[in-house]
Amino acid sequence: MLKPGELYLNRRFDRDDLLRKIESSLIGIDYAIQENFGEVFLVADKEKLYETLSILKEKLGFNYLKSLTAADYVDHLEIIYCLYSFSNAYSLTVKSILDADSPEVQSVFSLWHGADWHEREAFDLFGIKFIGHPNLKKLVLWDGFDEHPLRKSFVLELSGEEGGDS
Amino acid sequence: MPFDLTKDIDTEVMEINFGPHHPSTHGVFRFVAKLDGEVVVDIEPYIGYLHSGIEKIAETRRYLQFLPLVNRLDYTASLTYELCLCLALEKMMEIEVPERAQYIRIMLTELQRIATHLIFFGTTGLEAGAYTPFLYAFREREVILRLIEMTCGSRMTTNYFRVGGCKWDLPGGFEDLCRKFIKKFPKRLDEYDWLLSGNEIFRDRTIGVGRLDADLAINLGVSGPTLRGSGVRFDIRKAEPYSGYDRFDFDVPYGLNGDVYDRFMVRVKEMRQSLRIIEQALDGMPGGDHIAKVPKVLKPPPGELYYRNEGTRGEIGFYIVSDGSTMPYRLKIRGPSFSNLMSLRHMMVGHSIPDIVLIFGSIDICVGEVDR
Repeated sequence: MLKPGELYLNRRFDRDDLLRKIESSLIGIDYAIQENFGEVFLVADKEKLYETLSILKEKLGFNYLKSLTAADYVDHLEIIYCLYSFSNAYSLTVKSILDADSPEVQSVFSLWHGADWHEREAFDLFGIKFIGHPNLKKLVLWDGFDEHPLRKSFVLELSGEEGGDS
Repeated sequence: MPFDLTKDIDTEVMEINFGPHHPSTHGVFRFVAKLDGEVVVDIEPYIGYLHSGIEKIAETRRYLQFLPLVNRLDYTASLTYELCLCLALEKMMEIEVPERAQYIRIMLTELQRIATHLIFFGTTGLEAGAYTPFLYAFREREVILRLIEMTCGSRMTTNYFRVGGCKWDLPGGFEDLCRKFIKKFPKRLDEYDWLLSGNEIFRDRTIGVGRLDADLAINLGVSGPTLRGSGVRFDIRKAEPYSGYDRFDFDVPYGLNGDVYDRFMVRVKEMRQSLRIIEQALDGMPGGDHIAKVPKVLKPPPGELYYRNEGTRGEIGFYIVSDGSTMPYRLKIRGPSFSNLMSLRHMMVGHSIPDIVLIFGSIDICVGEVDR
Protein backbone atom coordinates (compact mmCIF):
# COMPACT_ATOMS: atom_id res chain seq x y z
CA MET A 1 0.00 0.00 0.00
CA LEU A 2 1.12 3.53 -0.65
CA LYS A 3 1.91 5.93 2.14
CA PRO A 4 -0.83 8.32 3.24
CA GLY A 5 -1.12 11.14 0.77
CA GLU A 6 0.54 9.31 -2.13
CA LEU A 7 -1.51 9.29 -5.28
CA TYR A 8 -2.75 6.05 -6.77
CA LEU A 9 -2.04 6.73 -10.43
CA ASN A 10 -2.86 4.67 -13.54
CA ARG A 11 -2.96 1.35 -11.82
CA ARG A 12 -2.99 -1.49 -14.26
CA PHE A 13 -2.07 -5.03 -13.40
CA ASP A 14 -0.64 -7.84 -15.42
CA ARG A 15 -3.26 -10.54 -15.88
CA ASP A 16 -0.70 -13.35 -16.21
CA ASP A 17 1.06 -12.16 -13.09
CA LEU A 18 -2.19 -12.37 -11.14
CA LEU A 19 -2.90 -15.86 -12.49
CA ARG A 20 0.61 -17.00 -11.56
CA LYS A 21 0.23 -15.63 -8.04
CA ILE A 22 -3.14 -17.34 -7.67
CA GLU A 23 -1.66 -20.62 -8.83
CA SER A 24 1.22 -20.46 -6.38
CA SER A 25 -0.96 -19.46 -3.42
CA LEU A 26 -3.98 -21.70 -3.83
CA ILE A 27 -2.22 -25.01 -3.46
CA GLY A 28 -4.44 -28.00 -2.86
CA ILE A 29 -7.62 -26.06 -3.53
CA ASP A 30 -9.78 -26.69 -6.59
CA TYR A 31 -10.71 -23.66 -8.58
CA ALA A 32 -11.40 -22.61 -12.13
CA ILE A 33 -10.47 -19.40 -13.91
CA GLN A 34 -12.94 -17.71 -16.23
CA GLU A 35 -12.71 -14.57 -18.25
CA ASN A 36 -15.45 -12.13 -19.18
CA PHE A 37 -14.83 -8.92 -21.10
CA GLY A 38 -11.19 -8.96 -20.10
CA GLU A 39 -11.84 -9.35 -16.37
CA VAL A 40 -10.64 -12.34 -14.35
CA PHE A 41 -13.14 -14.52 -12.50
CA LEU A 42 -12.31 -17.30 -10.10
CA VAL A 43 -14.85 -20.02 -9.40
CA ALA A 44 -14.18 -21.66 -6.07
CA ASP A 45 -15.67 -24.67 -4.39
CA LYS A 46 -18.25 -23.79 -1.75
CA GLU A 47 -16.66 -25.91 0.97
CA LYS A 48 -13.29 -24.23 0.47
CA LEU A 49 -14.65 -20.75 -0.28
CA TYR A 50 -13.73 -19.14 3.02
CA GLU A 51 -10.27 -20.66 2.91
CA THR A 52 -9.79 -19.45 -0.66
CA LEU A 53 -10.89 -15.94 0.19
CA SER A 54 -8.71 -15.70 3.27
CA ILE A 55 -5.67 -16.88 1.30
CA LEU A 56 -6.45 -14.32 -1.38
CA LYS A 57 -6.67 -11.63 1.26
CA GLU A 58 -3.53 -12.60 3.17
CA LYS A 59 -1.22 -13.59 0.32
CA LEU A 60 -2.38 -11.48 -2.60
CA GLY A 61 -3.35 -8.39 -0.65
CA PHE A 62 -7.03 -8.26 -1.56
CA ASN A 63 -7.88 -5.88 1.26
CA TYR A 64 -10.90 -4.21 -0.30
CA LEU A 65 -14.30 -5.78 -0.91
CA LYS A 66 -15.87 -3.80 -3.72
CA SER A 67 -19.14 -5.61 -3.72
CA LEU A 68 -20.78 -8.79 -2.54
CA THR A 69 -23.86 -10.08 -4.22
CA ALA A 70 -25.62 -13.16 -5.50
CA ALA A 71 -27.48 -14.26 -8.60
CA ASP A 72 -30.29 -16.79 -8.89
CA TYR A 73 -30.01 -19.37 -11.67
CA VAL A 74 -33.15 -21.25 -10.54
CA ASP A 75 -31.43 -24.63 -10.03
CA HIS A 76 -28.55 -23.06 -8.14
CA LEU A 77 -27.44 -19.77 -6.68
CA GLU A 78 -24.16 -18.03 -7.24
CA ILE A 79 -22.47 -15.90 -4.66
CA ILE A 80 -20.21 -13.22 -6.05
CA TYR A 81 -17.37 -11.37 -4.33
CA CYS A 82 -15.72 -8.47 -6.17
CA LEU A 83 -12.27 -7.92 -4.72
CA TYR A 84 -9.66 -5.24 -5.18
CA SER A 85 -6.16 -4.94 -3.88
CA PHE A 86 -4.88 -1.52 -2.91
CA SER A 87 -1.32 -2.81 -2.59
CA ASN A 88 -0.88 -4.22 -6.10
CA ALA A 89 -3.96 -3.05 -8.02
CA TYR A 90 -5.27 -6.56 -8.67
CA SER A 91 -8.95 -6.91 -9.40
CA LEU A 92 -10.70 -10.25 -9.15
CA THR A 93 -14.21 -11.58 -8.93
CA VAL A 94 -14.67 -14.75 -6.92
CA LYS A 95 -17.77 -16.84 -7.45
CA SER A 96 -19.14 -19.96 -5.90
CA ILE A 97 -22.16 -22.11 -6.47
CA LEU A 98 -24.69 -22.52 -3.68
CA ASP A 99 -27.58 -24.88 -3.25
CA ALA A 100 -30.90 -23.31 -4.30
CA ASP A 101 -33.09 -24.88 -1.59
CA SER A 102 -31.11 -24.00 1.50
CA PRO A 103 -28.25 -21.70 0.51
CA GLU A 104 -25.62 -21.45 3.20
CA VAL A 105 -22.15 -20.05 3.16
CA GLN A 106 -19.50 -19.01 5.63
CA SER A 107 -19.61 -15.29 6.41
CA VAL A 108 -16.59 -13.23 5.40
CA PHE A 109 -17.27 -10.56 8.01
CA SER A 110 -14.07 -11.51 9.82
CA LEU A 111 -12.04 -10.84 6.64
CA TRP A 112 -13.75 -7.65 5.50
CA HIS A 113 -15.95 -5.80 7.97
CA GLY A 114 -17.49 -4.13 4.95
CA ALA A 115 -19.23 -7.42 4.14
CA ASP A 116 -21.61 -6.78 7.04
CA TRP A 117 -24.47 -5.06 5.25
CA HIS A 118 -23.81 -6.72 1.90
CA GLU A 119 -24.36 -10.10 3.54
CA ARG A 120 -27.42 -8.91 5.40
CA GLU A 121 -28.81 -7.63 2.13
CA ALA A 122 -28.19 -10.95 0.38
CA PHE A 123 -29.78 -12.71 3.36
CA ASP A 124 -32.80 -10.47 3.02
CA LEU A 125 -33.23 -10.49 -0.75
CA PHE A 126 -31.94 -13.99 -1.63
CA GLY A 127 -32.40 -15.89 1.61
CA ILE A 128 -28.75 -16.92 1.81
CA LYS A 129 -27.71 -17.85 5.32
CA PHE A 130 -24.27 -16.55 6.28
CA ILE A 131 -22.82 -18.76 8.98
CA GLY A 132 -20.86 -16.82 11.55
CA HIS A 133 -22.26 -13.39 10.74
CA PRO A 134 -22.50 -11.47 14.03
CA ASN A 135 -25.81 -9.76 13.34
CA LEU A 136 -27.67 -11.53 10.55
CA LYS A 137 -30.95 -9.64 10.42
CA LYS A 138 -33.09 -8.37 7.59
CA LEU A 139 -31.70 -5.17 6.17
CA VAL A 140 -33.97 -3.43 3.70
CA LEU A 141 -37.31 -5.22 3.90
CA TRP A 142 -39.66 -5.13 6.82
CA ASP A 143 -39.87 -7.76 9.55
CA GLY A 144 -42.54 -10.31 8.84
CA PHE A 145 -42.03 -10.25 5.07
CA ASP A 146 -40.54 -13.69 4.54
CA GLU A 147 -40.13 -13.81 0.77
CA HIS A 148 -36.92 -13.18 -1.10
CA PRO A 149 -37.66 -10.78 -3.95
CA LEU A 150 -34.48 -11.20 -5.95
CA ARG A 151 -35.12 -14.93 -6.39
CA LYS A 152 -36.46 -15.72 -9.83
CA SER A 153 -39.42 -17.50 -8.22
CA PHE A 154 -40.64 -14.14 -6.94
CA VAL A 155 -42.54 -12.67 -9.87
CA LEU A 156 -42.98 -8.95 -10.00
CA GLU A 157 -46.45 -7.66 -10.74
CA LEU A 158 -45.90 -4.89 -13.21
CA SER A 159 -48.29 -2.09 -13.85
CA GLY A 160 -46.73 -1.09 -17.15
CA GLU A 161 -46.01 -3.08 -20.27
CA GLU A 162 -43.29 -5.60 -19.62
CA GLY A 163 -40.20 -5.00 -21.69
CA GLY A 164 -42.23 -3.07 -24.23
CA ASP A 165 -40.85 -0.77 -26.87
CA SER A 166 -40.01 2.74 -26.02
CA MET B 1 -39.17 12.46 49.89
CA PRO B 2 -35.86 14.20 50.56
CA PHE B 3 -33.01 13.20 48.29
CA ASP B 4 -30.58 10.84 49.98
CA LEU B 5 -27.10 12.13 49.26
CA THR B 6 -25.33 9.21 50.86
CA LYS B 7 -26.46 6.83 48.14
CA ASP B 8 -25.01 6.70 44.64
CA ILE B 9 -27.27 7.93 41.89
CA ASP B 10 -28.24 5.09 39.58
CA THR B 11 -27.35 5.74 35.97
CA GLU B 12 -28.14 3.60 32.99
CA VAL B 13 -27.58 3.53 29.26
CA MET B 14 -30.25 5.49 27.44
CA GLU B 15 -31.44 4.84 23.92
CA ILE B 16 -32.26 7.71 21.66
CA ASN B 17 -33.85 7.44 18.23
CA PHE B 18 -32.85 9.59 15.27
CA GLY B 19 -35.05 9.64 12.22
CA PRO B 20 -36.39 8.28 9.92
CA HIS B 21 -37.60 11.85 9.50
CA HIS B 22 -35.03 14.03 11.08
CA PRO B 23 -33.53 17.07 9.37
CA SER B 24 -30.01 15.87 10.08
CA THR B 25 -30.45 12.45 8.47
CA HIS B 26 -30.68 13.77 4.88
CA GLY B 27 -33.61 11.63 3.89
CA VAL B 28 -35.30 8.68 5.48
CA PHE B 29 -32.55 7.05 7.47
CA ARG B 30 -32.87 5.98 11.07
CA PHE B 31 -30.42 5.10 13.75
CA VAL B 32 -30.70 4.33 17.42
CA ALA B 33 -27.92 5.70 19.58
CA LYS B 34 -27.12 4.25 22.97
CA LEU B 35 -25.97 6.98 25.28
CA ASP B 36 -24.09 6.98 28.52
CA GLY B 37 -24.88 10.47 29.73
CA GLU B 38 -24.14 12.47 26.62
CA VAL B 39 -21.57 10.12 25.14
CA VAL B 40 -22.48 7.62 22.45
CA VAL B 41 -21.50 4.06 23.32
CA ASP B 42 -23.10 2.27 20.39
CA ILE B 43 -25.33 2.93 17.43
CA GLU B 44 -27.59 0.72 15.38
CA PRO B 45 -28.53 1.99 11.91
CA TYR B 46 -31.75 0.96 10.19
CA ILE B 47 -32.18 1.39 6.47
CA GLY B 48 -34.75 0.37 3.90
CA TYR B 49 -37.33 3.12 4.22
CA LEU B 50 -36.67 4.12 0.63
CA HIS B 51 -36.18 0.61 -0.75
CA SER B 52 -37.62 0.54 -4.24
CA GLY B 53 -36.57 -2.88 -5.47
CA ILE B 54 -34.79 -1.25 -8.39
CA GLU B 55 -32.54 -4.28 -8.95
CA LYS B 56 -35.62 -6.45 -9.42
CA ILE B 57 -37.27 -3.96 -11.74
CA ALA B 58 -34.06 -3.95 -13.81
CA GLU B 59 -34.61 -7.63 -14.63
CA THR B 60 -37.92 -6.80 -16.28
CA ARG B 61 -36.83 -3.77 -18.28
CA ARG B 62 -34.74 -3.33 -21.38
CA TYR B 63 -31.41 -1.62 -20.86
CA LEU B 64 -32.61 1.64 -22.36
CA GLN B 65 -35.84 1.52 -20.37
CA PHE B 66 -33.84 1.04 -17.22
CA LEU B 67 -31.60 4.04 -17.85
CA PRO B 68 -34.06 6.65 -16.47
CA LEU B 69 -34.44 4.61 -13.30
CA VAL B 70 -30.79 4.86 -12.27
CA ASN B 71 -31.37 8.61 -12.01
CA ARG B 72 -33.47 7.93 -8.96
CA LEU B 73 -30.63 6.32 -7.07
CA ASP B 74 -28.58 9.36 -6.31
CA TYR B 75 -31.01 12.07 -7.28
CA THR B 76 -28.52 14.84 -6.65
CA ALA B 77 -25.85 13.36 -8.91
CA SER B 78 -27.83 11.34 -11.42
CA LEU B 79 -25.35 11.71 -14.27
CA THR B 80 -22.63 9.78 -12.46
CA TYR B 81 -24.86 6.72 -12.31
CA GLU B 82 -25.91 7.09 -15.93
CA LEU B 83 -22.28 7.37 -16.93
CA CYS B 84 -21.33 4.22 -15.06
CA LEU B 85 -24.13 2.14 -16.55
CA CYS B 86 -23.44 3.45 -20.07
CA LEU B 87 -19.72 2.76 -19.73
CA ALA B 88 -20.38 -0.75 -18.46
CA LEU B 89 -22.68 -1.52 -21.38
CA GLU B 90 -20.25 0.07 -23.83
CA LYS B 91 -17.50 -2.13 -22.50
CA MET B 92 -19.66 -5.21 -22.87
CA MET B 93 -20.77 -4.33 -26.39
CA GLU B 94 -17.41 -2.87 -27.44
CA ILE B 95 -18.82 0.47 -28.51
CA GLU B 96 -16.43 3.30 -29.25
CA VAL B 97 -17.70 6.63 -27.90
CA PRO B 98 -16.97 9.75 -29.99
CA GLU B 99 -14.53 12.14 -28.40
CA ARG B 100 -17.02 14.98 -28.28
CA ALA B 101 -19.47 12.84 -26.33
CA GLN B 102 -16.74 11.95 -23.85
CA TYR B 103 -15.95 15.60 -23.28
CA ILE B 104 -19.61 16.51 -22.82
CA ARG B 105 -20.04 13.65 -20.39
CA ILE B 106 -17.05 14.64 -18.31
CA MET B 107 -18.03 18.27 -18.28
CA LEU B 108 -21.57 17.61 -17.10
CA THR B 109 -20.63 15.06 -14.46
CA GLU B 110 -18.08 17.48 -13.07
CA LEU B 111 -20.68 20.25 -13.02
CA GLN B 112 -22.93 17.94 -11.09
CA ARG B 113 -20.09 17.00 -8.77
CA ILE B 114 -19.77 20.65 -7.84
CA ALA B 115 -23.54 20.92 -7.34
CA THR B 116 -23.56 17.89 -5.03
CA HIS B 117 -20.59 19.12 -3.04
CA LEU B 118 -22.34 22.47 -2.69
CA ILE B 119 -25.28 20.74 -1.02
CA PHE B 120 -22.79 19.04 1.26
CA PHE B 121 -21.09 22.33 2.02
CA GLY B 122 -24.39 23.99 2.85
CA THR B 123 -25.81 21.21 4.98
CA THR B 124 -22.56 20.81 6.93
CA GLY B 125 -22.91 24.44 7.83
CA LEU B 126 -26.47 23.80 8.95
CA GLU B 127 -25.35 20.91 11.11
CA ALA B 128 -22.74 23.06 12.77
CA GLY B 129 -25.36 25.72 13.40
CA ALA B 130 -24.48 28.13 10.59
CA TYR B 131 -27.40 28.93 8.35
CA THR B 132 -25.79 31.46 6.00
CA PRO B 133 -23.43 29.13 4.05
CA PHE B 134 -26.45 27.08 3.03
CA LEU B 135 -28.02 30.04 1.26
CA TYR B 136 -24.75 30.96 -0.43
CA ALA B 137 -24.21 27.40 -1.63
CA PHE B 138 -27.67 27.11 -3.08
CA ARG B 139 -27.24 30.35 -4.96
CA GLU B 140 -24.34 28.83 -6.92
CA ARG B 141 -26.02 25.48 -7.22
CA GLU B 142 -28.93 27.16 -8.95
CA VAL B 143 -26.62 28.36 -11.74
CA ILE B 144 -25.34 24.82 -12.27
CA LEU B 145 -28.82 23.35 -12.23
CA ARG B 146 -29.85 25.84 -14.91
CA LEU B 147 -26.91 24.78 -17.05
CA ILE B 148 -27.91 21.14 -16.56
CA GLU B 149 -31.54 21.88 -17.29
CA MET B 150 -30.53 23.70 -20.44
CA THR B 151 -28.61 20.65 -21.65
CA CYS B 152 -30.62 17.72 -20.34
CA GLY B 153 -34.09 19.26 -20.10
CA SER B 154 -34.38 18.48 -16.43
CA ARG B 155 -32.75 19.73 -13.27
CA MET B 156 -32.38 16.57 -11.23
CA THR B 157 -33.44 13.41 -13.05
CA THR B 158 -31.46 14.13 -16.16
CA ASN B 159 -31.70 11.00 -18.33
CA TYR B 160 -29.21 12.48 -20.78
CA PHE B 161 -26.45 9.96 -21.42
CA ARG B 162 -27.08 7.14 -23.85
CA VAL B 163 -25.12 4.04 -24.63
CA GLY B 164 -22.63 5.33 -27.20
CA GLY B 165 -22.81 9.01 -26.33
CA CYS B 166 -25.32 11.63 -25.28
CA LYS B 167 -28.94 12.14 -26.19
CA TRP B 168 -28.29 15.39 -28.06
CA ASP B 169 -25.55 17.92 -28.52
CA LEU B 170 -24.88 20.86 -26.22
CA PRO B 171 -27.42 23.65 -26.72
CA GLY B 172 -26.43 27.02 -28.15
CA GLY B 173 -25.38 29.54 -25.53
CA PHE B 174 -24.19 26.86 -23.14
CA GLU B 175 -20.54 27.73 -23.51
CA ASP B 176 -21.01 31.41 -22.70
CA LEU B 177 -23.05 30.74 -19.58
CA CYS B 178 -20.67 28.03 -18.45
CA ARG B 179 -17.64 30.26 -18.93
CA LYS B 180 -19.35 33.00 -16.95
CA PHE B 181 -19.87 30.53 -14.13
CA ILE B 182 -16.25 29.33 -14.26
CA LYS B 183 -15.08 32.92 -14.01
CA LYS B 184 -17.26 33.77 -11.07
CA PHE B 185 -17.07 30.58 -9.05
CA PRO B 186 -13.46 30.70 -7.71
CA LYS B 187 -14.25 34.01 -6.00
CA ARG B 188 -17.31 32.45 -4.46
CA LEU B 189 -15.19 29.55 -3.21
CA ASP B 190 -12.90 32.04 -1.49
CA GLU B 191 -16.00 33.48 0.11
CA TYR B 192 -16.92 30.04 1.38
CA ASP B 193 -13.55 29.70 3.02
CA TRP B 194 -14.23 32.93 4.84
CA LEU B 195 -17.67 31.76 5.84
CA LEU B 196 -17.05 28.24 7.03
CA SER B 197 -13.78 26.47 6.22
CA GLY B 198 -11.69 29.10 7.94
CA ASN B 199 -14.17 29.85 10.67
CA GLU B 200 -12.64 29.26 14.05
CA ILE B 201 -15.78 27.94 15.70
CA PHE B 202 -16.35 25.53 12.83
CA ARG B 203 -12.76 24.30 12.97
CA ASP B 204 -13.05 23.76 16.71
CA ARG B 205 -16.18 21.76 16.21
CA THR B 206 -14.79 19.53 13.47
CA ILE B 207 -11.04 19.00 13.87
CA GLY B 208 -10.31 15.72 15.61
CA VAL B 209 -13.95 14.69 15.60
CA GLY B 210 -15.09 11.41 14.06
CA ARG B 211 -11.70 9.95 13.17
CA LEU B 212 -11.55 7.09 10.72
CA ASP B 213 -8.35 5.13 10.35
CA ALA B 214 -7.17 4.41 6.78
CA ASP B 215 -6.82 0.63 7.22
CA LEU B 216 -10.22 0.36 8.85
CA ALA B 217 -11.74 2.51 6.10
CA ILE B 218 -10.40 0.18 3.41
CA ASN B 219 -11.53 -2.88 5.35
CA LEU B 220 -15.02 -1.40 5.58
CA GLY B 221 -15.17 -0.71 1.85
CA VAL B 222 -15.31 3.05 2.31
CA SER B 223 -14.59 5.02 -0.85
CA GLY B 224 -14.61 8.50 -2.33
CA PRO B 225 -13.98 11.70 -0.37
CA THR B 226 -14.62 9.81 2.88
CA LEU B 227 -11.67 7.51 2.11
CA ARG B 228 -9.48 10.32 0.81
CA GLY B 229 -10.10 12.24 4.04
CA SER B 230 -8.36 9.36 5.82
CA GLY B 231 -5.21 9.77 3.73
CA VAL B 232 -5.81 7.15 1.06
CA ARG B 233 -5.43 9.25 -2.04
CA PHE B 234 -7.42 6.93 -4.24
CA ASP B 235 -9.61 8.31 -6.98
CA ILE B 236 -10.83 6.00 -9.72
CA ARG B 237 -10.61 8.88 -12.18
CA LYS B 238 -6.84 8.76 -11.65
CA ALA B 239 -6.27 5.16 -10.64
CA GLU B 240 -8.28 3.55 -13.43
CA PRO B 241 -9.00 6.39 -15.86
CA TYR B 242 -12.25 5.95 -17.75
CA SER B 243 -14.07 7.99 -20.36
CA GLY B 244 -10.93 9.94 -21.19
CA TYR B 245 -10.21 11.35 -17.72
CA ASP B 246 -6.50 10.71 -18.31
CA ARG B 247 -6.51 13.62 -20.79
CA PHE B 248 -7.33 16.12 -18.08
CA ASP B 249 -5.01 17.74 -15.64
CA PHE B 250 -6.38 17.81 -12.12
CA ASP B 251 -5.33 17.06 -8.60
CA VAL B 252 -6.76 14.70 -6.00
CA PRO B 253 -7.20 16.47 -2.65
CA TYR B 254 -6.79 14.44 0.51
CA GLY B 255 -6.65 14.79 4.27
CA LEU B 256 -4.38 13.07 6.75
CA ASN B 257 -6.32 12.98 10.00
CA GLY B 258 -9.50 11.35 8.77
CA ASP B 259 -11.71 13.63 10.84
CA VAL B 260 -14.83 15.58 9.92
CA TYR B 261 -12.79 18.62 8.92
CA ASP B 262 -10.61 16.64 6.53
CA ARG B 263 -13.59 15.06 4.83
CA PHE B 264 -15.16 18.48 4.56
CA MET B 265 -12.04 20.06 3.11
CA VAL B 266 -11.54 17.26 0.59
CA ARG B 267 -14.93 18.09 -0.90
CA VAL B 268 -14.39 21.83 -0.84
CA LYS B 269 -11.04 21.41 -2.61
CA GLU B 270 -12.55 18.97 -5.08
CA MET B 271 -14.86 21.69 -6.30
CA ARG B 272 -11.84 23.69 -7.51
CA GLN B 273 -10.43 20.63 -9.26
CA SER B 274 -13.75 19.93 -10.96
CA LEU B 275 -13.75 23.50 -12.13
CA ARG B 276 -10.33 22.96 -13.72
CA ILE B 277 -11.64 19.89 -15.54
CA ILE B 278 -14.68 21.77 -16.83
CA GLU B 279 -12.51 24.61 -18.09
CA GLN B 280 -10.18 22.20 -19.90
CA ALA B 281 -13.15 20.40 -21.40
CA LEU B 282 -14.62 23.65 -22.67
CA ASP B 283 -11.29 24.77 -24.14
CA GLY B 284 -10.57 21.50 -25.83
CA MET B 285 -14.10 20.56 -26.87
CA PRO B 286 -13.65 18.62 -30.10
CA GLY B 287 -16.14 18.64 -32.95
CA GLY B 288 -17.88 15.64 -34.38
CA ASP B 289 -20.76 13.44 -33.41
CA HIS B 290 -22.37 13.41 -30.00
CA ILE B 291 -23.36 9.75 -30.28
CA ALA B 292 -21.92 6.67 -31.92
CA LYS B 293 -23.85 4.36 -34.20
CA VAL B 294 -25.53 2.00 -31.80
CA PRO B 295 -28.11 -0.71 -32.54
CA LYS B 296 -31.67 0.30 -31.61
CA VAL B 297 -32.09 -2.70 -29.36
CA LEU B 298 -29.22 -3.27 -26.97
CA LYS B 299 -28.17 -6.89 -26.65
CA PRO B 300 -24.91 -7.25 -24.73
CA PRO B 301 -23.21 -10.61 -25.31
CA PRO B 302 -23.62 -13.21 -22.54
CA GLY B 303 -21.25 -12.77 -19.64
CA GLU B 304 -20.84 -10.77 -16.52
CA LEU B 305 -18.95 -7.68 -15.55
CA TYR B 306 -18.31 -5.45 -12.57
CA TYR B 307 -17.71 -1.90 -13.69
CA ARG B 308 -16.97 1.02 -11.44
CA ASN B 309 -16.36 4.71 -11.63
CA GLU B 310 -15.92 7.61 -9.29
CA GLY B 311 -19.21 9.11 -8.24
CA THR B 312 -19.48 12.19 -6.12
CA ARG B 313 -19.70 10.13 -2.94
CA GLY B 314 -17.39 7.30 -3.85
CA GLU B 315 -17.20 4.17 -5.91
CA ILE B 316 -20.28 3.53 -8.01
CA GLY B 317 -20.40 0.00 -9.31
CA PHE B 318 -22.65 -2.00 -11.58
CA TYR B 319 -22.49 -5.76 -11.64
CA ILE B 320 -24.31 -6.84 -14.77
CA VAL B 321 -25.09 -10.44 -15.64
CA SER B 322 -26.19 -10.66 -19.26
CA ASP B 323 -27.70 -13.76 -20.80
CA GLY B 324 -27.55 -12.25 -24.28
CA SER B 325 -31.13 -11.00 -24.23
CA THR B 326 -32.46 -7.46 -24.24
CA MET B 327 -32.90 -7.37 -20.48
CA PRO B 328 -30.28 -7.88 -17.78
CA TYR B 329 -30.45 -11.25 -16.06
CA ARG B 330 -29.19 -9.76 -12.85
CA LEU B 331 -28.10 -6.24 -12.12
CA LYS B 332 -26.49 -5.26 -8.86
CA ILE B 333 -25.86 -1.65 -7.96
CA ARG B 334 -23.13 -0.79 -5.53
CA GLY B 335 -23.97 2.55 -3.99
CA PRO B 336 -21.03 4.28 -2.35
CA SER B 337 -23.14 5.61 0.52
CA PHE B 338 -24.21 2.06 1.38
CA SER B 339 -20.64 1.01 2.17
CA ASN B 340 -19.65 4.37 3.62
CA LEU B 341 -22.48 4.17 6.14
CA MET B 342 -20.96 1.09 7.71
CA SER B 343 -18.18 3.30 9.06
CA LEU B 344 -20.71 5.29 11.06
CA ARG B 345 -20.42 3.26 14.25
CA HIS B 346 -16.63 3.41 14.25
CA MET B 347 -16.68 7.17 13.87
CA MET B 348 -19.43 7.98 16.31
CA VAL B 349 -18.63 5.95 19.40
CA GLY B 350 -17.13 8.15 22.05
CA HIS B 351 -18.57 11.41 20.80
CA SER B 352 -21.42 13.51 22.12
CA ILE B 353 -24.81 14.13 20.51
CA PRO B 354 -24.02 17.45 18.79
CA ASP B 355 -20.95 15.83 17.24
CA ILE B 356 -22.71 12.79 15.87
CA VAL B 357 -24.86 15.03 13.72
CA LEU B 358 -21.71 16.52 12.22
CA ILE B 359 -20.10 13.11 11.79
CA PHE B 360 -23.15 11.76 10.06
CA GLY B 361 -23.20 14.77 7.76
CA SER B 362 -19.52 14.34 6.92
CA ILE B 363 -20.13 11.02 5.13
CA ASP B 364 -22.57 12.84 2.84
CA ILE B 365 -25.01 10.05 2.09
CA CYS B 366 -27.87 9.92 -0.34
CA VAL B 367 -30.54 7.56 0.91
CA GLY B 368 -31.71 6.76 -2.61
CA GLU B 369 -28.53 4.80 -3.31
CA VAL B 370 -28.34 3.27 0.16
CA ASP B 371 -31.72 1.58 -0.02
CA ARG B 372 -32.06 1.12 -3.78
